[in-house]
Amino acid sequence: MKPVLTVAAGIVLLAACSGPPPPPATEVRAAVVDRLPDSHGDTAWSGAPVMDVQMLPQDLVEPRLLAPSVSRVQVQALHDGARLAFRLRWEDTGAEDHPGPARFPDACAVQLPRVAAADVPAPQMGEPGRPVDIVYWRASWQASADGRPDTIEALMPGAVVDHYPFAAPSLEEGSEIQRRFADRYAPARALGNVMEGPREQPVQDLVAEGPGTLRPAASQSATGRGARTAAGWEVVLARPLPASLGPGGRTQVALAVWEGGRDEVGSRKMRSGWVPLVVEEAP
Amino acid sequence: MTDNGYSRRRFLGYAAATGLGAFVASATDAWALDAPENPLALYPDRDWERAYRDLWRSDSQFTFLCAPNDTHNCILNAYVRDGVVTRIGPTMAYGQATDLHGNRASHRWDPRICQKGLALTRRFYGTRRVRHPMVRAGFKKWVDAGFPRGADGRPPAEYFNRARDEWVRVTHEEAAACVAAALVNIAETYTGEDGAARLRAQGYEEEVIAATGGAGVQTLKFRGGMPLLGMTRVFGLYRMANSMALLDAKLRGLGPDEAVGGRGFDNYSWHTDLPPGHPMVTGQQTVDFDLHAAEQADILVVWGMNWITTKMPDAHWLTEARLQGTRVVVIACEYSATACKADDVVVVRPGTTPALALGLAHVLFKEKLYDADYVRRWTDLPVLVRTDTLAYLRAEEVFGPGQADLKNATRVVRPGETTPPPAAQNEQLIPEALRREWGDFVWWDRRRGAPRPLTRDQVGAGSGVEDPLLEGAVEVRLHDGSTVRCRPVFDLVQEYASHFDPATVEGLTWAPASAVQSLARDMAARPGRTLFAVGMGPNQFFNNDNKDRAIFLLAALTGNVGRISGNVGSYAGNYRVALFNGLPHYINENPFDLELDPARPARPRQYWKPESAHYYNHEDHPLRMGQTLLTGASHMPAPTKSMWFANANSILGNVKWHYNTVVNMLPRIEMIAVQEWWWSTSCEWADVVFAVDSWAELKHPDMCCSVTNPFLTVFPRTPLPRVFDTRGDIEVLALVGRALAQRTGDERFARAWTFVDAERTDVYLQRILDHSSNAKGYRFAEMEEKARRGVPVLMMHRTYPKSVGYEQVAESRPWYTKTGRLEFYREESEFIDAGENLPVHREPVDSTFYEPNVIVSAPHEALRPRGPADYGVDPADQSNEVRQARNVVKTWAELKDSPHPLAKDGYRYVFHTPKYRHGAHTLPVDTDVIAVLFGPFGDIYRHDRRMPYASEGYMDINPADAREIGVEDGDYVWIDSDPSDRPFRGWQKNARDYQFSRLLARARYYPGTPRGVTRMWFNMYGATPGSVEGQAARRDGLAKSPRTGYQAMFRSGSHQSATRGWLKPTWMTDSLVRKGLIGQGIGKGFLPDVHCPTGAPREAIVKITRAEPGGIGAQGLWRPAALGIRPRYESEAMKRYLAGGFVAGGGPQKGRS
Amino acid sequence: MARVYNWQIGREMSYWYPDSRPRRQFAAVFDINKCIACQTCTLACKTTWTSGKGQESMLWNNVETKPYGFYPLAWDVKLLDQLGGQAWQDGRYEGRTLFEAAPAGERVLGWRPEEQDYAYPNVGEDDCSAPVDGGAHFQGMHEAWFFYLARICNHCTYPACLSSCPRGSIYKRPEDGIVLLDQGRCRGYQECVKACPYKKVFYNPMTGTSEKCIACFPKMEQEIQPQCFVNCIGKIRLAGWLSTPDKASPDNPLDYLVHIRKVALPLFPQFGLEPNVYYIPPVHVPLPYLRQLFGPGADEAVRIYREAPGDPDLSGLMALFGCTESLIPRWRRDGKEVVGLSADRREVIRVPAREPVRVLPAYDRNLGVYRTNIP
Repeated sequence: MKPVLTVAAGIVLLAACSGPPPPPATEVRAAVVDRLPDSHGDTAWSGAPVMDVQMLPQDLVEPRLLAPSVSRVQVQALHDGARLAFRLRWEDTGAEDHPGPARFPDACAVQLPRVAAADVPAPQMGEPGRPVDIVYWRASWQASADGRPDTIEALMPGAVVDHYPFAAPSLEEGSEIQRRFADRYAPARALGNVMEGPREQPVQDLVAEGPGTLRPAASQSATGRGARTAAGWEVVLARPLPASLGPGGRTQVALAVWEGGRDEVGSRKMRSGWVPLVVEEAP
Repeated sequence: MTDNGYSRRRFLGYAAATGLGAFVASATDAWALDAPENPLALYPDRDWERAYRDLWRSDSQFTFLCAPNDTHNCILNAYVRDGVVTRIGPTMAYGQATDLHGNRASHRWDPRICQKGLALTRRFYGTRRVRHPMVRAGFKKWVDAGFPRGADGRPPAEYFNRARDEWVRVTHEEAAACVAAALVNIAETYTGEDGAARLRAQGYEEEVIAATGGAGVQTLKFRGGMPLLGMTRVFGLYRMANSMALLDAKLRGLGPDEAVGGRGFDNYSWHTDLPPGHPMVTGQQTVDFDLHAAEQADILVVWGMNWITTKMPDAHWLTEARLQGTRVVVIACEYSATACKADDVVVVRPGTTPALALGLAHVLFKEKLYDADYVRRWTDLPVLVRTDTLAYLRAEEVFGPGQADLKNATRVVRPGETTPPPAAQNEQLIPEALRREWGDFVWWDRRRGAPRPLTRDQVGAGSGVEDPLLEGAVEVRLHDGSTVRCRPVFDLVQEYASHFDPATVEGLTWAPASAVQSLARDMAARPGRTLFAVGMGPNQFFNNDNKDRAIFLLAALTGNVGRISGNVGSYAGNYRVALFNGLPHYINENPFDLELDPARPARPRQYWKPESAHYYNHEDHPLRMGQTLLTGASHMPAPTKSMWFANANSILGNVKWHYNTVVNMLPRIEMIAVQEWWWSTSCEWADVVFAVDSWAELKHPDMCCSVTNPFLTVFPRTPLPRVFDTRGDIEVLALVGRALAQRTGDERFARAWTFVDAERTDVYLQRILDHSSNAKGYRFAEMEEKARRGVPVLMMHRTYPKSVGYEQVAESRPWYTKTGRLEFYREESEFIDAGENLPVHREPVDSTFYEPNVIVSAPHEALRPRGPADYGVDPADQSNEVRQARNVVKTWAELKDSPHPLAKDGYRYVFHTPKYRHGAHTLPVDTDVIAVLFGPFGDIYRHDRRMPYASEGYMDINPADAREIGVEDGDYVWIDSDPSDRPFRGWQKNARDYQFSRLLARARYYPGTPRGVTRMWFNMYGATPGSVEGQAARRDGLAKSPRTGYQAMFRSGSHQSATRGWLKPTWMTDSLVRKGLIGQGIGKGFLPDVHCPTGAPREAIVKITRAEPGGIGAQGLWRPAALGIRPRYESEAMKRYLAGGFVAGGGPQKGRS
Repeated sequence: MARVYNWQIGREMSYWYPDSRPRRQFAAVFDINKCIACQTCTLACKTTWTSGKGQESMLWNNVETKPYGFYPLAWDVKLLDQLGGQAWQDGRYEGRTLFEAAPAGERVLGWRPEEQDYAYPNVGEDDCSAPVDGGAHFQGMHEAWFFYLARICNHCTYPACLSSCPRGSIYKRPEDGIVLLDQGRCRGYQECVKACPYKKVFYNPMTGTSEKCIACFPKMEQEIQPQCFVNCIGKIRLAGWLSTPDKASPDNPLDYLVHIRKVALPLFPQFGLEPNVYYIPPVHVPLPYLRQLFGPGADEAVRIYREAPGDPDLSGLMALFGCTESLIPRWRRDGKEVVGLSADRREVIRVPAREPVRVLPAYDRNLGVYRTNIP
């Protein structure tokens, strides 16, 4: 019965949006800057209003998250007329950036409806035919982007491996043949599905049209950077302003965070409902 | 649950309701909208599957031969992608193998491969591959300095910092030049009177110096490794030893008739694979049968043999025999791997095999269940023995002068008379002198009440022995009028065996009395239907010849010698060089008279002398008891000044008593040259390492065959380009030959390898085939062509399956003994002095809780051994040297109360080191993917940085024993053997070497091993100075040498820290009659791989001390124990699991069907 | 949840998706009495499919010694304990399957091995069930025992991995029933790793995806048996196509052993996945333990196998194992020989149940050579 209730809740939200402007605390305002800050620590962020977003366990589809973890995320937004950046800050007890069996890196995501309109799709990953665009960041990707080598020793310092077929001395070190040789022994990589391993950006553009439909966006344009703070994570996620969302425009944004230390992954996550997003006009 | 289960569909239902039905309808066509509705039924886009199809693809494939010393010799397929061998597989073509008559093997022989073969790519490409020739820096300095020496001839020590020195990369030619120069210099140094004086100054015994006969080349030792692992490649080192005669001729100015060659070490006996009692009973090397004979027997007794782990590709013959009704009986000193394939399992005390066999024989005697007909026709049991001299009674003594004219497949050869080559021999060739010495024999005819002569012609159908006296004594009137009291061998043996009644046997061997009785009765019930597959286990004990003689006794009493469905087999090593008895045409080609026409046969002449490597293992000393020399003259070793070997780690890296050898013996040796393609422990301790081709890169073909399967297999030339700067083994020999020619000016050194330079080594191989009894008729070129398709051919053995003794029994031919019969009595003085004229039980020489090496017997008229006092030795002296020749007789009752001399000091655990499934001789447990599966401690990620490698050596111990000494499962323990000489003599004053020699390993709680019996698997690379240094210096803590990359499987020491070299007098006689190594000629005394020492490498009694906790970083319990899934640590759930307690109810399945 | 019929437990059960059996189902028989734990299968698989980075401790095929061997550590004892008592009644499973026992919020009852649980992949090797403290004589049923259990993915009829994937990235091929995990779509949630009771789905930290046994589908598509079958020198394995019990045919070697002779049994049928690797149980092991692993059919299977020597069809068929790399969907016995046939009944392989004994002439006149067993 739960999902139906949610949809109802969604409708309530929509109603709220179409009403008079809500108090600042209930919406995310993206202020204009000349140049989007590329780091989470940039002073530009200190000027941006902070919204405290209430998080809920994803308990609608199996596998569900039954025990709540991260209860609130502080979100800010900035834009430069072309790109839209968010900064998410939340408390997380243990940093987890190490992929492995039963180990899940911390992560977060920002979701916007494809079409900025009064009538938004369900906040649960959108709906069939009504896609949502998601920017996803993962702590292990951040570690790779920050230079963690693409070797098993980087994850398992004691490892002793005598030989990989693609390391045979009869292959030219670093050659294209050798690279393809290595990818054959990592089928996901060979298929371009790089869920771990070397990467420039610790983020990925994703599209969904309902639970279980998540897929990489046709083109990847998101950037991001996360850093560990004493209390938890600070992550900056940036993407182009949606075509339908010019300066002065309004839409909705939803957030999700995963606390790896609590085995949160996939649908086992803390998520928010839609939150109003205002893209301010240049003064 | 159901509610939630449907919730997703409800959600979609909502989507449809909101006017999106069209999208939902098309949802399963693509990813555009939704996850698949039912992935059991349909998956939208499967294009990704190409990723695995691409991984499977290979560009090409070729075959190569994998031949470690495991007797299997498998032709394998190598699959190549982008020029790299990525994986290996079976050819599945053994079922196409045929013989010259078109007989075919079946596809039940396929597949032939194993996990070690599949892991070979690690060795072809891995970092420990020997990538180019190397010379030890100090050795090169010594050579370059022109071989400076001290007054006594010794090289200055500073040049010989082995295993700690740096290495210099050189070319193959430079390495060859170094070796040639050293060979010449060493031979020169020890030639003639000056040479002898130098050896004397260095403290060698006179007999050992005399053994050189003044020829310095006799101090040069060569070893080819096991015969059947590469006839030309590996055995070429004996051809090299033969060509040393050219050097001797030059140094001593002698002609071809006086010159001698170098010395060649033994192989089969060196590996303790030779069952030394086989020649004592049958007069020839070994009796065995191809393993597929298993399904021909009613009972298969697997005795001290871990068949399913050491004969892996032939294990199915055992399990499939059970499906054909063969009853499998496993006798082992533990609940072994093979025990889980047995109908019967008998667990016994290690080293008590002779007693168990005698106990089984006793039941047959007592209950008169023996095969009387077989006893009369095939054994010496009816033959009379004089009770005064303890010799066989001779016919001439009774019937007067004159000896029978031997006709039964026998020819007496007069001096100077020429004999046909082996392949043309159909008769046993007995030198006239020997035949005279033997005479004929006597049995007592009960029907006539008179003695009757017995010749060695009278066997089988022609036995003529109908109703012999078997029990009791007779007074026999001799030709000279005197009378002598005689007893048949049967009577002497029966009396001796009577000491081994079931109760005594149970006490002594631990085998339940009821098992001994039922087993003996079952074997007797169907004579000739039991196969005895005897393994390396019992053979690696000091009493191994006693073991063979007692097992043959049991087998003969049940008619089980020489029959396809009933025989004895000894399984260890791929040994029978005689299977290619045309070999002399290669290794012994006369270096003074080389045949360079490929179409014509060589003219063999043997200049090299064989020698048992066990004297090198005994620091070049023969065995003495008091002042008496117990090593026969025919066995006498020469000093070891140079060692050069190929393809074998066993002579140095894995030598028994390894740490004594490297610390105390190596300093006497002036050059050690090794041909290897994988950096072994031998390489660590060598002076010169030649980098040779791996099996996958062979550019010169070779061939081998096997003692356990019927296949003649070729090492084909392979198309794989050499990956590193390597050469073929045989090319290395040719290079050194050329260097010797340059240095000596004698071109014959180089010409000896003409067909190598011409890339025509097939000429040597064809010559071997053309002169081999069971290979003549095969064309090498055709065999190589078949091998390229993965197809071997069948050896032309007399029978399929091969069964040694078939001709003796089926065609009534004599055995190769004095009597022509299976001999259970040994009349020679060496045996009488040892108290072993009868097949006795001796306690193990070290691995016993009781007084070592005691002869167990009640007082017996025929047992008159020379005791310690007779040798002028203190009877109380049980030190290891003395112990070897200590002939003390005790009853079981007396022995029970005589503890091992070290028991009081806590040396209470038998420590044995058998082979296992994860390693074979030349393929030890030393690559990642093999090691992680080796036993319980494998962890490729090495969570515990103390681990020397991805896994490590460990000791199995009975959990109750471990608890008693405070050792937890997975702890590290110190394992110490007899401190008087292990790990090496003088360790007390040598901390530097003790640091890498003392054995430190994990302990595993092992419920399958009895109290007091511990086990460590054989053949993992041991610690060296470099590995210990590496473990301390490297951040990852690997026991890997910083200089050579050598990788040890131990933090310190190895399984060889506890072993020792042992010499037994009965292995070293000058009088034992035996057939030659090849052909039908009979001789006596020393013969390599037939009659010579074997050592006793499975013996050690140890003390165990807890070193560190097993938990990661020495914190707490080893994790599996902490998790409650280990023996003695079971959680409640684990206890319930072991009892099958999670499931209730049973009964037949009724479900819908 | 849908209701599906699982013949191995003799009843209907609930499953995440509705029933849909493939046109052909890949299946196998493993004869435990012939397994020698040589690990050749393990290496054949590893050197072919999992030689990449991040796969170092990953064994799609493993061989463990029961009762003390586990890969990963404690895998089955842990799950049996979570599932609790499991009762059979007249061949019908009365307890709960893993789907029926799923906790709230989950699709399947499962657990997640930790990274360290994949260490010591051969723990318990040759450890027997009880101490052998001294001399002993075991006959028939051994008082102390162990046996070797070779394991691959069971390519289940009702896979837990497939049902647990929130993205539906695991599917069953309609043409052969092989269960595959889409490497192009997996996002590494590890739900399948948690759900598979046999722990035959693995997470690869270097690709960030989960990976599993593919039954060598590139070989099966060419009618060749998978790597771990062709390389099995114990000759314990036969791959093929298994019918449902109602369609069993005696000339299909798998149907014959599984449905007709009932000598080969599924591993942990009570889990409810209808696994498609069938084991001939070891004849020297006490029955309660065997029932726990192989279900109530264990008693009968042991009896029948022990009587194989008097049973030329059964012993003959067992001799055919491992003699060819081709699939042999049909077979027949021809006197003392046994024959493997292709689907269209072409003769693929023929072997004798017992290898013949031959004696060569002592002298070869043409070649002038004596042949002898003592050269």
